Amino acid sequence: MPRVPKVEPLGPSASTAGAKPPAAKAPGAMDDRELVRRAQGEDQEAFEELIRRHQHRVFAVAGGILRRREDVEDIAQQVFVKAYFSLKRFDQRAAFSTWLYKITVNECWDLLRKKKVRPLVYESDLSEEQARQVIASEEKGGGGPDISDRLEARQRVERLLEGLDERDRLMLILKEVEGFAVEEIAQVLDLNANTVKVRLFRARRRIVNKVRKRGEE
Amino acid sequence: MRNFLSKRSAECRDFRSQLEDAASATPGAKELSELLTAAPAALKEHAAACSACRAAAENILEARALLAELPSHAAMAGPWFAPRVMVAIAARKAEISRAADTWTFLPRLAARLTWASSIALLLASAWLYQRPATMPAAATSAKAVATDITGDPVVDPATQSGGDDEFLLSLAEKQHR
Repeated sequence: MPRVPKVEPLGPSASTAGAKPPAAKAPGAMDDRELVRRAQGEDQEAFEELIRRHQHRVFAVAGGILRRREDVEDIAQQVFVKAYFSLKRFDQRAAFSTWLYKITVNECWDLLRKKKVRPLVYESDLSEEQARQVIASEEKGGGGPDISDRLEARQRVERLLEGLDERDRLMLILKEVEGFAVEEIAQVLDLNANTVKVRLFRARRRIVNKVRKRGEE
Repeated sequence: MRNFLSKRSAECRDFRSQLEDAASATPGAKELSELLTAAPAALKEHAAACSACRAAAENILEARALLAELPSHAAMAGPWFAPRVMVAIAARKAEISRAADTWTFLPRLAARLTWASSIALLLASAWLYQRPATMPAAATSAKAVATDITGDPVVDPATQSGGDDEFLLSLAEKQHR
């Protein structure tokens, strides 16, 4: 299972711990709190470091809701641009990651509302690049049927997920595909960790039951 | 019997709550025994005794196998992304400053417009003030051109500016001739 690189836990700021002045540190060595403070003071390098640190998780969350590669890329970019221009208003009472996830989720729902499309779009699920790869591998003849089988299986799973509530679907994808911890999913969706566990349990039971039913038919 | 059932349901609740943590600790597990490797002994015992909880654990394995077909979007992000965002931010900043320039230019223009319009207003009001005084003179000169059947100028007593005396005098002069 692919794992998203973990975001550095939010601890006490190194600058407040007091050993070295913040200017002596490279952005990569700073914690989120310090980076945010610097980015609020127009430090571009600090903001770039924040992007590098959180981009995988933003892609994962956006991908869990939108699925289409092009939409995911655009929304991820939009999220960071929005975060940059709203950073001065961010008071750091919550973790930067929590704030960023909320922007991501809101942007995704907004896009879906604007487009009035369903989150899972099977026919355009493959990007042009992916489609070219599939065609090229089929032309070579090596592993061609294998790839089309996998694509079919993927579409089957996405159809199964379509029967779930949008939030439950996102939870399952974040947990089983993107490797998020229950606490992180709770952060993303602004829910209690126990609620996430219960909903995950029910969502799994629902899709497994569907598969069994289809198998019996 | 009732006690047994309520104890059992409490155990099931605990099991399901801990099951998620146990499953998170074994992401690559393919079988139930592997899934519960990191779980406490009580959890394993409960799974062996309770078929509903065992089914819940098996659901995790089945769901995982199904969802393994889906691609991870996190892998899409790469070193190309941060520079792309910074370019978008720079473009947005330029757009904002352009818009700000337009708005700062407007007040300067507005000051000039105020001066121009107040001068125009002053001139217009001066012209309007002068206009009623010149109008009757123009009307009199136009009427003076009119003549009667004999070729003498016709004098309209109503518009005569000199008053009744002048009118009577002009009539007397006419009769005398």
